[in-house]
Amino acid sequence: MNGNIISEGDYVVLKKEKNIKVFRVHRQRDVFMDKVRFTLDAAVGHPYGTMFEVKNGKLLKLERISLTEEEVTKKVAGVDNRDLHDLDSNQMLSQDDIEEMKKSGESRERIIEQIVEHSVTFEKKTEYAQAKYIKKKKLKHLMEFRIVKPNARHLCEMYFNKSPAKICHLRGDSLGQILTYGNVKSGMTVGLVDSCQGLVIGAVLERMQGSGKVVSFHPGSGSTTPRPILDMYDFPPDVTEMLHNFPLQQINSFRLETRSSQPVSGSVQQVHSVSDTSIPETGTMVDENTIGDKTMVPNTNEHNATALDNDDAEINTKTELNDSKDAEGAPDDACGLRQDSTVSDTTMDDSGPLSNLDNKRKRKNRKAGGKSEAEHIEDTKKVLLENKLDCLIIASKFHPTPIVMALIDFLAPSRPLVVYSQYKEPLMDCYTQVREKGGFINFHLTETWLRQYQVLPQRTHPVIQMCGASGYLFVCCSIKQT
Amino acid sequence: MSFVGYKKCVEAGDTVILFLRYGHMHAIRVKEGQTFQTKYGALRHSDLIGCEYGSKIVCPRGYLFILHPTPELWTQNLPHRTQILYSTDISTVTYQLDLKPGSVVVESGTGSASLSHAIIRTIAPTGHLHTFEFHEQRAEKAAEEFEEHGISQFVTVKHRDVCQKGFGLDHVADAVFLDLPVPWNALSSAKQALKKEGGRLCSFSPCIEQVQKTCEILRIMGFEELYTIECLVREFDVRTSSMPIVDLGQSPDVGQVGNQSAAPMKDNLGQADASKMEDTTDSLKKNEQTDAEPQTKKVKTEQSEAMEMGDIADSKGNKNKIDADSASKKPESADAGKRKITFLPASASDLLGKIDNRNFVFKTGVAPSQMPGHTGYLTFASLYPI
Repeated sequence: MNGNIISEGDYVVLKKEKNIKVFRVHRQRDVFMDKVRFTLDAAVGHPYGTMFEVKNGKLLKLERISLTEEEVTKKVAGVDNRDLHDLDSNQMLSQDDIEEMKKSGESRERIIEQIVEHSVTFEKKTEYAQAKYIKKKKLKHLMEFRIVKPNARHLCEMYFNKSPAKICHLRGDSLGQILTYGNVKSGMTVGLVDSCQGLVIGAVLERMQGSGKVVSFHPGSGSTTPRPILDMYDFPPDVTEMLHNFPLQQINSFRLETRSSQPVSGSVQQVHSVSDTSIPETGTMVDENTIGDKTMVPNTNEHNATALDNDDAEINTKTELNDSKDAEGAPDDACGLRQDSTVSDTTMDDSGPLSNLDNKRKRKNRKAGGKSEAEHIEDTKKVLLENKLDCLIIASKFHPTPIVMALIDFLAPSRPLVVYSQYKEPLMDCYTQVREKGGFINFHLTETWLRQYQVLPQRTHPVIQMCGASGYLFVCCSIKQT
Repeated sequence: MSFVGYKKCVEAGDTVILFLRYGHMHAIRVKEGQTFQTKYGALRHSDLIGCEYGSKIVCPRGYLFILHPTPELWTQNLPHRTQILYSTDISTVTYQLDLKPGSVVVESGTGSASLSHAIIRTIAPTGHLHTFEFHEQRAEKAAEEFEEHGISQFVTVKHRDVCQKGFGLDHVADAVFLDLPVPWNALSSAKQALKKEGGRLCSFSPCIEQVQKTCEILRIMGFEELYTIECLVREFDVRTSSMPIVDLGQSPDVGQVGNQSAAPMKDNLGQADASKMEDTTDSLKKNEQTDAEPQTKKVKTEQSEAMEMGDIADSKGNKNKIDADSASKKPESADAGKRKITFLPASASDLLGKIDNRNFVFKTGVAPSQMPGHTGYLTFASLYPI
């Protein structure tokens, strides 16, 4: 199978200017974008990067990139806006007229032309204003987008634009810095705490491509909290197999074990076992949820996929529910792509029987043998005992200091500690505490200032709105303890 | 394998980073029999061999740490042959170009190879960097460094003016990075170098005129999603600072002395730690018990403190935090009520600071008075399959 061809079962990113969405490709399944309903069937078989348009509910490959400014711009243009008045009557076409045109199957060029022709003021606009007008109308009336592969950049941008709270307001450039300052690369052992629904874990796995180990410390005592974004990366099994999980609630007892330098016994005291039956693969139903039918996601335990279209509140409650459940130490069968879960192929799902493809994917995500959760924690302990961490990354909604203090002993000497927080004060506390404890040098507490520019002939200037919240990074370097 | 893989101990031939103190580092190549003069006296290379990375090394007049080289440390310590890209821009470039192990990248010019090291780190062991430099000595020097750093197998260095002669690469690259005086001259060749299934491009230019011309040509050539940004890092110096508290004379409220009563602080900022933050009520209780002062006076202090803190918190936009704190302390005030003490929303003194001898003492992150204000504009663009 060619990885560059859109295939059924793939997670795909739909990109329409700033509007980014992730769906999973299923035959005859409705998806929504800008309130337009269509299916992704026709995308299958096309290479990634292809431009599509939706016309009358049908997805079509777009042969030619949308019309350029020059094609529509009239040769007549105004000098300035002294004679322009802001009136509803400036556009003689009603919304209904435009909808009618779209339904009758008019070409996209024709629709825009009509809108321009029926604008009373268009010819009086300056040529720059005309260009801006056309751009706006195209974005509003044409459904043109590209389908690309999911990656850290697209996923981070999507979440940062739509629901930044879910990713701790982690901006793309800060994520990039985490990876750079963490010196994340192929073949290393990374320890990390991710409260960003798997965004950071995925970004780290992406930079390692199947070589090395990632130990994700998650809150609670049992299995992992949901990580829907991690699923969206759509990693092949050799990449997800690098990921090991460890519950933070067991970290202190594990530290005690290692301190008394006893070999880890095969039996861990009391691990919350997960019922070995029916753990549905969750987090993969993005597209289903986006249908917008809320009755389809009634069971919070089995459905923690993000519904990118649905309102955030719903998702948040779901996540919280799972979190609190997890914190109580209840058997938690609600986790996303969990390579340590035993997945039953006969699982029934709310949305009906899963397709063969889903089952295939489940098998893909399952480790051979179907180990119990306790065994997986034992495996992770072995990883931690055999390898000192080559970097420790914390991007968490929890106060970082206790986490950092509990985990820094696992870090090898001369390695980076990278802590991200949305707020500066917790990081200042962490900075002070780590400094006081010793064993670290080269302290940096930073934020990033990122300004975008509009670059157009005669119209170059910084973009009017800028994002002032990069979050904060605390980076330092471990030294050998004497 | 020192730049692309960690190892435990220093061997002859390694490049190591000597960390003397904050902002004071050196990169040296360890050779048996050589010495290196530091601020703290002579350092014999042979003393380093066999030492674990991260170890403390004692010199005649001080000590230093030997650190494992990373592209970021190298960027801070490399010999400058040109102006270089620093880690903030580098991380943005790496991220925006979607680099990962296996990526094939084209870069020009090589310059001092600051970015090259970071690219190689990210794309190794399966990717490759083709880097082009029109200055012959720089190209040679860069190749030499890659050799010394054990990463030459991941990179091809060519001495060539790409603006005139092009890259000579056909559809092999996932990403192209241009840091050239006239980048637009290299764009058609860059397009030719990108894979047929598309790829990403970045052009770094210090001047806006270069950016304008580049963007114009990029659009003509069919590149999309043009995104021009400027990215600067702000570094904070975390330290304890203080501000004096003004004397407002007698307070009209209780007929008591106002801030004159600034009693010894009951919270120890220095000890602020996690447990405290989780359990501030507890620490308050303790303080109460130990406090033998007349109670009215104490209340006064708490009040003025709370106001002080509240104001500061507000100005920092941290009101929510304060609200949350006061909410968590309600039971406490009920308890206190029995003893005729009315607690105002308690201060967030654990977090923000304390009143001490007519001073408000607090932890803060101080932004530098001087910082880099401009490095260059980064323009990113996507090329899609036709």
